Amino acid sequence: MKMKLLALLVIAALPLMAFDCITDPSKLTISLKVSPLGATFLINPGTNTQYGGMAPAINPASLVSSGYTLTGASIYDITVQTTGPEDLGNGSGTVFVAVGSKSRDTLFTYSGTWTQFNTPQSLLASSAIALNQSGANDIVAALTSQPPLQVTFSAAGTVKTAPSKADDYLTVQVYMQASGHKN
Amino acid sequence: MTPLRHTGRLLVAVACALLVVAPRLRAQSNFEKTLDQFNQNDVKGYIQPFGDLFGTDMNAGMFHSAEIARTGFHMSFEIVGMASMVGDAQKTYTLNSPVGSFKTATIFGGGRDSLINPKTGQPYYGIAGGFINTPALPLAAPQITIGDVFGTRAIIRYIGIPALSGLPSASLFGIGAQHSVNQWLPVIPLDVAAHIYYSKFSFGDLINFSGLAIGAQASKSFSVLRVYGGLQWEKSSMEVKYTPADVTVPAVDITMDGANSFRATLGLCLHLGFFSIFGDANFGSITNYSAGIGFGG
Repeated sequence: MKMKLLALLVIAALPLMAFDCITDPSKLTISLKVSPLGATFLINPGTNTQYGGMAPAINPASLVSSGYTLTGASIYDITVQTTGPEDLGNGSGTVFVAVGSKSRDTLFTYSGTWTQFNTPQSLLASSAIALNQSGANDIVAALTSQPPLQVTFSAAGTVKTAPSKADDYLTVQVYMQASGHKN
Repeated sequence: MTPLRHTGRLLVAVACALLVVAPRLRAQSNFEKTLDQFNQNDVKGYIQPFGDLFGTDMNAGMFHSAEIARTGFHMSFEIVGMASMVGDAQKTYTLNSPVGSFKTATIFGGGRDSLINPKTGQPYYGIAGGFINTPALPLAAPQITIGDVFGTRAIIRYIGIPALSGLPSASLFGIGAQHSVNQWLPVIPLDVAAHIYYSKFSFGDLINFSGLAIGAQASKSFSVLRVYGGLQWEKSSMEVKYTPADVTVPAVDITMDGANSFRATLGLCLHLGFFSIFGDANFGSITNYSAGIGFGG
């Protein structure tokens, strides 16, 4: 009984004692999950081998758990994938990013065959994608601004053979890591 | 220091070890949100050293004598404190990240480490820096040793901390037995015994631990001073289980097997009639020290 009472007293006294051995986890900078930023572009059917378009705007605030103050972010990977029943041959293109009211900037360029991109090509593992750092910086700024700024992707590219049907797409995913601490 | 104050200090150490995360958190929702950020493998690597050191503590301090009568009355109430040392190996782990493998901080480590992404020139960070800054992970528990029947003595440990201020309850339980080898081999000039010990710890539904230790020990008394030592095989396992309130987030269920599987013990005990004080050093893959006081004979 005496031991239990002592234990209870000690536990009650804990908040009053400065246990410097333990950092408050809410003050710790941690790596935060960021949902990928994605966009899909239709390769228009017909005779025109050029394609392009603008994807819906993304609100970066929806990509990170609320309740954290972001202190930094970076892009660590980008993937590009082609889907569709037709082989459109050699292709190349540019994906742009516009942040807030700023004019768009090149995020990355890509080139390769349509079938090569049927398997998602990764910036980390493939030479088919080349990153433009200023465009990457724009996305980082969009995520870390207070409040976060809207991000809009657009693309312009060419294929060797235009598709006959509207079922061929180019899909882009941008993977980011953010740092922050709890509010 | 009076026994009561010494007990209080040891209980502080118990509470610090048992409630290592919870005292600084206002609500479970803060801890939920922090854990939500990490994938399971990252979390395991980050907290594995805590499981290693805690397991080493739990398997320490059970005995400080191999002298067990074939038949007789023995009862001793003891308070035992243990501390497993945080070495350099416990401060970092290898994180397998999308940009490559690199060493980064564990829960005992320093700042967050990073690896430069060769394609972007930007750092990719480990999940977090360390937040327990201590040279050792302490633990303490009261124990009773009682015997001696057919050269066998029981060891029982228990401490229960009730739920308080939104924190779940915690309990530590251990039971074991020492058996005299001398009764079978009286020619041995030392007291020799063998032991087996099982322990359990739980912290709400979040942490469940179990440990098993089997070993042998020897001791020799010189007046009031007793020298003791032993060899012990041990294993431990800690399960950290957490289900986020957000049903779209996967549950965390991590099992960590303790790193320490063997130890050699060397200790001294000062036996002054009804009162004894003892301390030992334990050497394995993790270095551990235990010490305590006992009342009884």
